[in-house]
Amino acid sequence: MNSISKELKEFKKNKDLFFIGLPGMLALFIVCYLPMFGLIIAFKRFNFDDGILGSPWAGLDNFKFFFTSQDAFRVTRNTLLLNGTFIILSFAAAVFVALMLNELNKRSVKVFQTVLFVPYFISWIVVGYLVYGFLSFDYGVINSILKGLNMAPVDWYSDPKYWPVILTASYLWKNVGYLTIIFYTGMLGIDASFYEAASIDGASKFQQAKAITIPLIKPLVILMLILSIGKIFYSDFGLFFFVPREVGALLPTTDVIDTYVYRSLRVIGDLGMASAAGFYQSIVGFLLVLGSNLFIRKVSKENAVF
Amino acid sequence: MLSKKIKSLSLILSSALILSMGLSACGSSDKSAEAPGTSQAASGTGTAAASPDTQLEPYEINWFFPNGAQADVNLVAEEMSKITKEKINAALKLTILDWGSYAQNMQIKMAASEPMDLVWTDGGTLPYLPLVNKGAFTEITDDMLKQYGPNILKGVPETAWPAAKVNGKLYAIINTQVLGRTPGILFQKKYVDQFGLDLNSVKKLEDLTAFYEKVHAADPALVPFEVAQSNSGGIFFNEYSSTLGIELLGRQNPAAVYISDDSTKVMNYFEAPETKEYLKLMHEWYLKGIIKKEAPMLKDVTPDQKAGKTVSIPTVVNPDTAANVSSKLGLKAEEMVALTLSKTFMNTASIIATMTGISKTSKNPERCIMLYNLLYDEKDTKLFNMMNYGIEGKHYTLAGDVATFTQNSGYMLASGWENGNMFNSYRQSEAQPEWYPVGPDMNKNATVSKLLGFNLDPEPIKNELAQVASVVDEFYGGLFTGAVDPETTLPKFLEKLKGAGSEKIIAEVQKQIDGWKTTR
Repeated sequence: MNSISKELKEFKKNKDLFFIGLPGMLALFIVCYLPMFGLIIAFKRFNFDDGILGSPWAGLDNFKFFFTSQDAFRVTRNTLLLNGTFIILSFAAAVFVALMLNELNKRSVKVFQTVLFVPYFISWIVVGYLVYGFLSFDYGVINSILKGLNMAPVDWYSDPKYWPVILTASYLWKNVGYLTIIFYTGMLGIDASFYEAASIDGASKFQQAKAITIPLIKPLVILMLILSIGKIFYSDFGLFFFVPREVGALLPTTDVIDTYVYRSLRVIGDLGMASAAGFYQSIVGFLLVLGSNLFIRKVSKENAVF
Repeated sequence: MLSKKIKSLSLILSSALILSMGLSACGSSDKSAEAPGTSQAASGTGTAAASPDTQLEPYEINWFFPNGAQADVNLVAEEMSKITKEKINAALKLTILDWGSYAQNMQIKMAASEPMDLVWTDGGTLPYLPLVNKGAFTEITDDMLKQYGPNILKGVPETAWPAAKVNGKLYAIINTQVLGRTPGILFQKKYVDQFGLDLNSVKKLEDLTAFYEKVHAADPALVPFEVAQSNSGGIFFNEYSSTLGIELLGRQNPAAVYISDDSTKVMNYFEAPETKEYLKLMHEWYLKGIIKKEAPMLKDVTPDQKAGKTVSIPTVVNPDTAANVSSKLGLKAEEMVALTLSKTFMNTASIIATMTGISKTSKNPERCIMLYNLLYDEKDTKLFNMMNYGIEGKHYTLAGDVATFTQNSGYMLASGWENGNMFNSYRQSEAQPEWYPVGPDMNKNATVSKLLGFNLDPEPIKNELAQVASVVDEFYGGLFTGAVDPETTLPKFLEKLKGAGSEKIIAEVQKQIDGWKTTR
């Protein structure tokens, strides 16, 4: 009772602010919460005549297609391992690059910032062609170099074993800049007096980074990490679809849940089965967010997000 | 304090205003879209009443079909109406919707029971069968066709009708084009002459190996046989299977039958010995450089075509194919020659690829058939060609029977396969053979599928179809572009297909075909 009146008081006090926030909250509700109602399609035998509510219930039938598939293990493994690698490497690289940016003067930071940030805006379709430009058998840059060194050219697009590396490299190239900017912005907020005091005490740059910068941006890194882990079951569809150019022979290492569902259902176009796959991804993603936050709360309580 | 209140009030008011503006915008656009239609309908019937023909009530035929937008569509419809009013006392209103939104628009119109007369339908864009099951179309009886559409009966080959019938009843008129598919290869004529290939001696693909080897030896930069991941080359087997005597139900559905098999026993087409022979040949060609090394990951063949490096293109060969494809290679029509590998093969999918149904909401189905009868008239093709080429002098010029479009004229439909009998069409190039008698002969002589009229219900096997589709995607590209050795890869593929449920699919398809045969 007391808390409700407290909330009301709070509301009255900041009425104007609440009204300013209203359109945003409405948009959030319409875009993020209303569509959740559509999740029931995953449990229905959907047809257009009866609509979403009128269609007959299908129980768990729509989930069968994915879980009884002989590729279910393969695509789940690829999704988790590849995305896990992406997260670990991109975070490590971004923190490292941000630390280096932090040591540069303001003018050269601008140049590096732009150079690092540009790939983030390039579409995966274009990246797919860039990668092809490097790896094409006859005219690719890498095979040309190999030929120049009198080595046998490699048929990159026919052997799946190269692809975890190629995919990881493409992902890092495109995304590290974005994370770097976020971490670098976090570092800018650190009070300069810390560094002054440290350098008076004779701390080296390395010691300063270890003792000041990293601990202070840790909450930001953890927040970003939890957000990424929540999406670990969703793959960057563009990366896995356009970069390997839909070459069937590469699927053993490039097929992830999203591409598998897309390939299987583009012929049949069954809404229920597609929703079931999406539902499965959301649930696992949700559990992973809760789990990783729980883990962080155990390890260092003050850094947990909630 | 007061000014603060006013501020927040104005905020609320302005946001409410924005919202209401959004709402009213939606509402008003609906109205404006509706208004001209109704007013035009009124004016159309008004003028029709002045027509001298007293036997038939004046009527306006409302026709919907997909295509690119045409600025002068109403102008052409008016001009066409002059002819149709005189002959059948009906005015014509054409509504062209773009391909992307056609199906959605029509489904909404059908669900709302809007008054419509003619509606274009096919196997994939706006699928015919589900619409019939939903009761969207009026039945077209034999008597109606005999009485009002003798030209239609003459134009559509008799063998084709069963494909369009659902439980023995017809719900749409087949638009006549070359109704079957003829697998073949298009060659650049200069290479055929240079390396002395006698096209008449080629009976099957294997006979071409020596020629292609010579081409490759002469210039390794040439592309002797065009194969790519996503074009006619990579999926050429869809067509070439009929040369091998196999009828597919779909590329990603392993169930297939032998065309000559009267018992229509369903088998897995990836297991057929003919398929294996084909894959071996493709692999041999791949190793010999006849197929491009990059075929399995190649998505775009136009650079090679534009550079004139493409020597031959496997494709469906129709009388106008050479003329159509040669322009892509920057060649004249006579600089390409077509080789057909086997007879035209006609099945349900190839026939129902373009049809026009009469909506259940049509008030005058007979008049619709009369209109179609005019479009099917072989002797007087003026109305049909007006619909496809526009008004002579304004939209195109005519020399003999070769029509040349005026650039940027506001009407350039040229889509005769959508609206009547394609064979009545003017030609667009001198090099293209005249449609009569080539086109009708192809239809008359076509091999006809034993499954004509059969439609698969995927519902009981949709889990298996989805899993199989994914497995096919994994192996198809490598095998059918020749990049991998079928001796080692095909067994792996077949085993994985079994794991995905191919046997259940085959059993179910067999069951459905057997059931369908007893009801026929």
